[in-house]
Amino acid sequence: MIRHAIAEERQAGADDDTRPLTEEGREKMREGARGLRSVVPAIAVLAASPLARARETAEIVARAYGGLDIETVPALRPGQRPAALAEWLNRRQASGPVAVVGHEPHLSTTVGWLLTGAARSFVELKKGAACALACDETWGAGTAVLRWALKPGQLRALGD
Amino acid sequence: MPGTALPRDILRRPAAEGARLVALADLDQAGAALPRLDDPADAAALHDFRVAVRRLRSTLRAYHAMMGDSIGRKTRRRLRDLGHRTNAGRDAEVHLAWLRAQAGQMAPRERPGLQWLIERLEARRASELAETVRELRRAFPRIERRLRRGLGEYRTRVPPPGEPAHKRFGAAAGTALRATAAAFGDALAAIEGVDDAAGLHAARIAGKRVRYVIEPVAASVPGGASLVRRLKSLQDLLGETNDCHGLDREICEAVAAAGAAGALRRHEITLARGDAVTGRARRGRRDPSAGLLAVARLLRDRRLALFARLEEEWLADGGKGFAEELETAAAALVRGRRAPAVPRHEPPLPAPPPAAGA
Repeated sequence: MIRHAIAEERQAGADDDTRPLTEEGREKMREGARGLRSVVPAIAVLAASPLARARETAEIVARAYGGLDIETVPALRPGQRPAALAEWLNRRQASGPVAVVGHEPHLSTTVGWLLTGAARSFVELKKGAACALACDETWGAGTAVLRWALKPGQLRALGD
Repeated sequence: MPGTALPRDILRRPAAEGARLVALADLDQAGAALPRLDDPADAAALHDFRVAVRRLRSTLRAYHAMMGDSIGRKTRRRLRDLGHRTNAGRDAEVHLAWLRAQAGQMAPRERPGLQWLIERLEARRASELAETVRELRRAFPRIERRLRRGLGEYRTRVPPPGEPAHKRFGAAAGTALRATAAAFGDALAAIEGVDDAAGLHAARIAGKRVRYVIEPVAASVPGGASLVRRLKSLQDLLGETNDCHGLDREICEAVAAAGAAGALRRHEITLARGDAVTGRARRGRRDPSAGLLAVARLLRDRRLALFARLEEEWLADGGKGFAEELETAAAALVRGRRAPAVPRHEPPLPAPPPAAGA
């Protein structure tokens, strides 16, 4: 689970869906993505919400892995039910690690729901941070375990 | 009709994404019109729904290659059937509006025929509309769910370093514009004359397809607004022509029905042999034939006038001048040198609920 990198500030009247990353956000994410690759050497499926800042973050991750397909998944939009992402994960049936790029508080709420069954956030995901979950069978409420959670600075340090 | 805004940078987005965003905006329009069908006072609801579905089908067709297998054949077919389902009710509405406007031009002996035709169409419209709305309310939500899932989830490729980047939507729109413009030119050239109902209808559909491709990106191409305006004007011209042909068929059926009613009346009078003429036979004395003939004449004059305009405005140079302008627009889209598109529909619908810190 990856939260999008630092994006431009929200502006009144502007379309929030199209808010891009800042140059600082892109640079930090490039470093963070290298760190991500050191802990997750291969990604089978890379997915992102339809919003520009998540898609742009996913593109940076894709380049760090030498080029990947990005699947756009509406279930990663802010405000979606955690179960919607679980349904997508179960339907997708990836043969290896799945990386999803999304938004807060949706991501950490979904993480909480997958870990405990309660849709409550207790894992902090700063912009550009990531955490890894594992699940033996079907994704759903309380079916996952937390492998690790890394702050953006820690990911960047791993990429050095 | 207000609707979903397209992102300003849509021309620079990957082709697969841009095509889906346009289709989703069309789907939003149809979804917004659906509940309005329940309001009998909302005269534009069915029209708006029809237009949105037609746009959507046109978008899915124009960008078929970019959609992959995300929209199944069955879903496309159901969407097509849904669009066709609305035809009879809409046609009856349009014919009625025109017929009512002709009352002032009719002689007293012709008016019963006009009134007879109006009543015949009103009865059809009432039964068609109720059934159509029921069918749309039942079938569309399921189709919409499938389309949203198919259009919302898609894949784009971030190539390895050194490989060319993905195709932009602008280039895909340029390619689609070229293809639809070529088909439109062929359709115009194939029109055989004022009585070629099929040829005129084909040109109308081909023109609509061009317009639906160019409209979402019109602000980003040279002369885009003017092209859309002229295509709309052509659509009105050919749409009226098509309505004339439809009403022509209607009158032919009405003449046959009136003839049968007249024969029945004569039969009843003959059987009465001087006894009191039955109520039905008395009512039948107001023969609609004269009125039907008068309507047919007015319709023929209207059709000839419309075709004369079509010849003057569109067929005189074989549509070459317009084709060149479309090619200029398509080339600009493919090159991608102009500013990104601005939203197509104003004002935009509200964005999804914002999440704090998202």
